[in-house]
Amino acid sequence: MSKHHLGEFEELVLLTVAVLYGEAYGVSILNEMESRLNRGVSIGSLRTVLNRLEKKGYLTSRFGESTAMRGGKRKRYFLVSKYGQKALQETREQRQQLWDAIPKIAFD
Amino acid sequence: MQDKNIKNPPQWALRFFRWFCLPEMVEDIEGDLLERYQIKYSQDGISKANRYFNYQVLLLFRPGIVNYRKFLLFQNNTDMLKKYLQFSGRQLLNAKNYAVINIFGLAVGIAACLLILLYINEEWSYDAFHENSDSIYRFTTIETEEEGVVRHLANSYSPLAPLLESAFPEMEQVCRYFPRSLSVKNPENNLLVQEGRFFFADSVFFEMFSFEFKQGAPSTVLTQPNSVVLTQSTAQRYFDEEDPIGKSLLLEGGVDVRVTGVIEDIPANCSLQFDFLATMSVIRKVMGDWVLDPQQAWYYPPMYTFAKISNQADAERIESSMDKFSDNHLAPKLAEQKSFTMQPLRKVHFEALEGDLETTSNPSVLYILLAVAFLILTIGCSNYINLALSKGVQRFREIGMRKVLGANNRDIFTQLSVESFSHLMIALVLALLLVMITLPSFNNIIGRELSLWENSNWHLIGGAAAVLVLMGLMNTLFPFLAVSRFKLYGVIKGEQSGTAGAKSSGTFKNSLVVFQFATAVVLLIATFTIQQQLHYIQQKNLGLQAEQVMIIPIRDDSIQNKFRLAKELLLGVPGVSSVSAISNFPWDRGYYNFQSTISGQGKLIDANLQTLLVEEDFISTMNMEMMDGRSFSKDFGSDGSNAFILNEAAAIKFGIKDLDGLRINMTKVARGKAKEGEVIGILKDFHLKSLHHEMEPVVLTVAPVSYFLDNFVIRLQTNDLEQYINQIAAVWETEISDRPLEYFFLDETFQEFYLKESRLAKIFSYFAVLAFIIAGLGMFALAAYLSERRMKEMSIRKILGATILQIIGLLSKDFLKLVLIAILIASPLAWIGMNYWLNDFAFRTNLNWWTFAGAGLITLIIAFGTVSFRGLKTARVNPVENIKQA
Repeated sequence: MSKHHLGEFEELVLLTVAVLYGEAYGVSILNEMESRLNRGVSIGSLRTVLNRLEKKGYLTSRFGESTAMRGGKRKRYFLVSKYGQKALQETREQRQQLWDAIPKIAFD
Repeated sequence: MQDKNIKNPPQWALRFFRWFCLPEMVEDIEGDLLERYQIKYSQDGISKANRYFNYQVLLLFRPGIVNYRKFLLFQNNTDMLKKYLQFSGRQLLNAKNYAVINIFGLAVGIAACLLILLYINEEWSYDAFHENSDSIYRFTTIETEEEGVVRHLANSYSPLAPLLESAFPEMEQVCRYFPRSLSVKNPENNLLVQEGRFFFADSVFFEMFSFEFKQGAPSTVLTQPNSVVLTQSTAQRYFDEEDPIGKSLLLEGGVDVRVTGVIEDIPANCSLQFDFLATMSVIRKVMGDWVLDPQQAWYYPPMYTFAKISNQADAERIESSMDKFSDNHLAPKLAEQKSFTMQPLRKVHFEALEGDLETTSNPSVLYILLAVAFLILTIGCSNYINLALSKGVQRFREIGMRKVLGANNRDIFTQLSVESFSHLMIALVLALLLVMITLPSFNNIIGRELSLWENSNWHLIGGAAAVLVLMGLMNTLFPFLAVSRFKLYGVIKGEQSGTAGAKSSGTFKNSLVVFQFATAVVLLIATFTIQQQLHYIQQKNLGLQAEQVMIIPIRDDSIQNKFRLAKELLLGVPGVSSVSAISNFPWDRGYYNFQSTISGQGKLIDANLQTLLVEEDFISTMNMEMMDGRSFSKDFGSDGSNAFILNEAAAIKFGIKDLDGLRINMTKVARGKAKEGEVIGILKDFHLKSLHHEMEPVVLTVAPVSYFLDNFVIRLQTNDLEQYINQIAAVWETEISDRPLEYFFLDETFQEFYLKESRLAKIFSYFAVLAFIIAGLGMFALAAYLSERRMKEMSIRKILGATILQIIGLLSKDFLKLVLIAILIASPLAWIGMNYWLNDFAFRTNLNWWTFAGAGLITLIIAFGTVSFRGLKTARVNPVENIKQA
């Protein structure tokens, strides 16, 4: 058991933040997840997960610019940290190992 | 810098969000929300965007985003909370009497209230468990007899259902329901039982009503022409653990039925109570085709007709057209006598009609009980409020001191509420415990199987909790608000504490005491009156001797055919002193009615006579008394065919003074034949119905044919019945009938007439005692409190020469005044209420002044005892001790 444990939704959010490198803030993450994964995500659940990931150290955040559309409120940009990158990689390796361990005959 | 293109989302949602969100997240989340809102707005329009926005805000209201600090009463000081609990414990110990009275009184009040509400809840839930309960109606009959006598019957007759079906296609289902008493035999083990709850119904029955099936499917169980459905316990009675499905049962007359389904035992709150339910066609084999004949069956047998009408508008339309239904669809002669009305299923339990299968509930009794529950609760709460007001004043100084030492309003509020609510939690637990302990005996009184822990009862417990919260708030807010009104300095010095509370709440407190005792007095008078009426019923000369009279229903014409022989056989049993028979008992099926003419003494009266058809020895067997003339007798060989006896009421009604030459001609008595003869006697009035009913004019005559005789009436010599019953049963089962012996005792049946009243008497007596306990406790606490405050005054009086009696008098004078006022208020109320209740009886006791005086005296004694007990303590204390105290 690794010390990194990512829930399914956490993993998806983390990956999306990585995909949007440098451009990842609330709305863009939502849009990206909705278009790529075809699933509705509420601002509330996204923001809770982002908080949690940041608290665990997988993400860093900073305030960015504001736009008129946001009523003058600043965006909060998220970036995957080195630590987060490691967690993602580890998760992926675990998956890969499992895939590799499946006997060929199982999926015939 | 608002851009015109920027749309504003719902402001209240936004404000709500800003309020609850953690401050460090407000900005960027709000930005995200707005941005998404703009996108939604341009894509889907304002209403969808608004909905989306509100929904997102709602979803944001979750841990991690909500600023939990806003919801904490105590910021970061669980230590203080612990202290508060400690204070509340000390408060309890410090004033044990008050606390016990407070908590106990409240708990008893709530428990009593819960008990009654449990009962009322069950009553109001009658028949509600059927899925279609709101769309099922029962069709009841209004029979108009000659002389304008109108009877409202719960039943109708078998031809009604097909008529309704063809007349109103909008009725989805119509179902007949027919009770019978049948002997049932299990051919495998020859178990033979007379089953009193064997019912027949049309095949839609189980689709219309929702019973829980253990085996079989509701839509198919009754489709076979010989199918029968059993309740689970019946199935167990006949087949033990074996699978009953497909097993055969033999009904009387050798009719064979097969078990096609088993249902769970029928819940108590159901107006349809049966053990067996067979499909309708079986009845043809048991009783003959005529039972369902569309022409013949309009008079007998009575059947119950239900219909399901889902559409409310349809139902209303049908209901309004029921007036004309019998005119339009029945033969003119029938239409004159019978019309039908629709009764919603949910009302079946609350409208007492003639021929109801189950006992009904009188809604006004339920309302009375509801009022009693509310009153008891209020009495309990009054104590609490009273003591809260009095003790609250005492706490001013403490609160003031806390304030000086730096407590802010919120702290004081928290402390007071922790204190009251922790006390109230104890009260709630105690109340629930009390309910659990007393529920079995309460069930015993009301004859029910109630349970507290049922889903349908959770809201009652919730209600009890809500009452407690209200009390808690009151106990918290009163001292809290009162203190904030006064100057801190004065509060600590104690300047305000003496006068403020006493003056501002004195009248209120007094009226609560008056209210408590008035309620107790009303309950006491009610108990006395109900007991008095029950006593009156016991003592009432019924005009017959009901003790040691055994009734055996005759259910077979084979017995009727050999009636003489059967009578001789029964007379041969030792212990039987006389045997006779009667057609039917008026409390059950009413009287026979025959169109008759009374003639003689220059009179000629046409009348519809209510008649009891009896056997010759009936009057002597029942020990009825003759007022005039003679009873039926074998010495006059013709009594069997041409003699009539009137009761007193009939004699009065028809203005008959003496019997000379008086004759009655009764038409169509049996098989269309008339019966004509002289009136040989007048009976003293006798009661074969409950005393709720007026004395009715009745004629007795000997049944012209034995098939009228449906009940043996047997007088036994002694009360040692066990042994004789066995002997009668032996004779009955070997030589008279192939059915098991069924019997009941007349006096027990008479007792059952007053079951509701005797239950009410018990309930009222218990609640009257409770009311006195709670009110007495409250008065005790109040007296204790007041005499404590007047301790110094009393001590000085004592030193100056007042006697103990004078001091007690001084202390109790105010209270006794209140109790007197309570008695004065309660008496007329009780008088009105009990008069109303007694009006239910045609034969009733009168309200006595001494009932009221007695109740008042008891109340005064209790109140005086309570107060002087406390006063004595004050009066006997060494005055020096009190005066020395600072």
